[in-house]
Amino acid sequence: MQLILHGKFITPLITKRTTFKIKGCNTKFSQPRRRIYSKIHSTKPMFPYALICYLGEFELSYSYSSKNRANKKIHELLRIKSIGRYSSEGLGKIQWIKGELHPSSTRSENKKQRNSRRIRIRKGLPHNLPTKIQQLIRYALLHDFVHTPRHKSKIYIEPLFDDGEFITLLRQHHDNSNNVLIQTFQKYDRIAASITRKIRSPRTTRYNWYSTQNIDFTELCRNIKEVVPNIWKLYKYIYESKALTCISEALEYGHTSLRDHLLIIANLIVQDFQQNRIEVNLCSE
Amino acid sequence: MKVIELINPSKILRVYCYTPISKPLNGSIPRSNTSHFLRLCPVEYTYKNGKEEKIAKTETYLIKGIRGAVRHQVMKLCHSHGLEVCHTSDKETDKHGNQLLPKGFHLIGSCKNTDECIIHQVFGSKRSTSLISVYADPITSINHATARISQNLQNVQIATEHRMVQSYDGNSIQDFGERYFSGEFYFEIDVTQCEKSQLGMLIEAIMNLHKLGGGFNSGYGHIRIQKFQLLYRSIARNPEWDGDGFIVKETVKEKVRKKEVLTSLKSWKEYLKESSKCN
Repeated sequence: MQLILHGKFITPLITKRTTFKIKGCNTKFSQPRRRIYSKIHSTKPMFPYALICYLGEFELSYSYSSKNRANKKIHELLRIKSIGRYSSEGLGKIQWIKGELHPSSTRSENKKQRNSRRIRIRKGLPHNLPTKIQQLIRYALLHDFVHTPRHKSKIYIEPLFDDGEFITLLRQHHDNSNNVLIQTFQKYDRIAASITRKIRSPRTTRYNWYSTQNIDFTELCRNIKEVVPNIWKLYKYIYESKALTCISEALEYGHTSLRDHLLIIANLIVQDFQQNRIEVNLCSE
Repeated sequence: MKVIELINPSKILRVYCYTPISKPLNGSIPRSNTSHFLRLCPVEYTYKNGKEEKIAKTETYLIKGIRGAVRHQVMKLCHSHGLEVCHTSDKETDKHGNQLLPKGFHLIGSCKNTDECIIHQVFGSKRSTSLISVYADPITSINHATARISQNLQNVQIATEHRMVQSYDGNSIQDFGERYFSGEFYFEIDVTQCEKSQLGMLIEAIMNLHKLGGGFNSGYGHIRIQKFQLLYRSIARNPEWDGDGFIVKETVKEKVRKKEVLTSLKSWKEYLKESSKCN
């Protein structure tokens, strides 16, 4: 259940953001008007202070469990005359207009879908992924661990999977293929590479510039082989692996790490799936 | 739901003044050579055009710098009575070695932990809050005589003064503009937390208040105090239910207190006597 209070700032409130809190309740300006408040010191030879402030109508939301709590909160809020800095000079004066009580929480309805292209590295993969997307993510997470005509496995040893067909597909990830799975993967691989590869710093081994100790590649290979059937476990292993952070993704770019490269591809796929930018049918062969 | 009353009725010192021309400005807006007031939200109002009712919008502005003007007047008053009080400066000299702190004052907030001066008690400093708050209702310029406004606004004359810095052969090379307002207006000081001696000091300072905004030496910013009142104000906010929601209705009750003005002036004089004995 949610209480929504509407009010208006008659005089500007000194704040850099249009979202803030009043008595612990989330508040945002509905139509903010930006102003700059200048303050002069008449006794000092100095430039005036310039402070960013906003005024106009705002909306306050408070979720409550019982009507008594809502009444208490209304009493607490309607007593407020002014808030913020320089209220002694008349700034931040509030005029309350109206309020609404919603029996059901409208938070999920009001929440806007985030459609930004900014990548967020998740701690774990979401649960409700279709099998085709799962296959694509598994392909993406394992593609650098196999020998290909262009390069050897980036952990030097190839883990031997049970699925023979899948290994052959993994070995073709650099080729020009008609397979839709490979084509879609290559798109994400290129985007991830363009994100991480910024400064050229060649290396002769797979150890990147951040590595400090030797890696046991046989153990790493064994561990990966154990978690291959479950993509959630595989993702979690790569996310927590310290060894993979010390391996460079490309020999010419010694500052990159294999862990980041794999996680970026997986997260790009998940993000596009959640924002309906990827079609599940595309992943079919 | 019950009517919500603010806990304590506030004590307000309302001051009515008149200014022929005053410029409490905020600064120039981008791509403009004119200094403006601090602009607030525009307000809608209705007026009668014959029998027809029309809606119009008006710009509103805030009168800045009243608190500073009152503080400087209080400083002057205390200095004339021989009290050592806080100055507005927190430095004794500037980087060129020029003296910033006049005689008879100490640095702002330096008396906080020892013997707190009366100005620091009332106006506070960087980390101690002020006892008073100064506020003036927004000013606007409406020409319609039949205008009906829902909000508290003060109707004054607002215009721009165009000035010239350099001219050659009658044409201006460098010019600038400044907004000014003129007319009767009022402002309020919330003195709920003040003691009687502090209130007396404020009243005496306000009776001598004569300056607001910039350009005082050029003839701007002279104000004349016409009247002042001490009011007891109680505000009740009533949420009137309408279906799922409610509309907040505000009712204000005010009472004028005459005796308290005289008693507070008396206690201020007593305070001055005591402090002169101590010195």
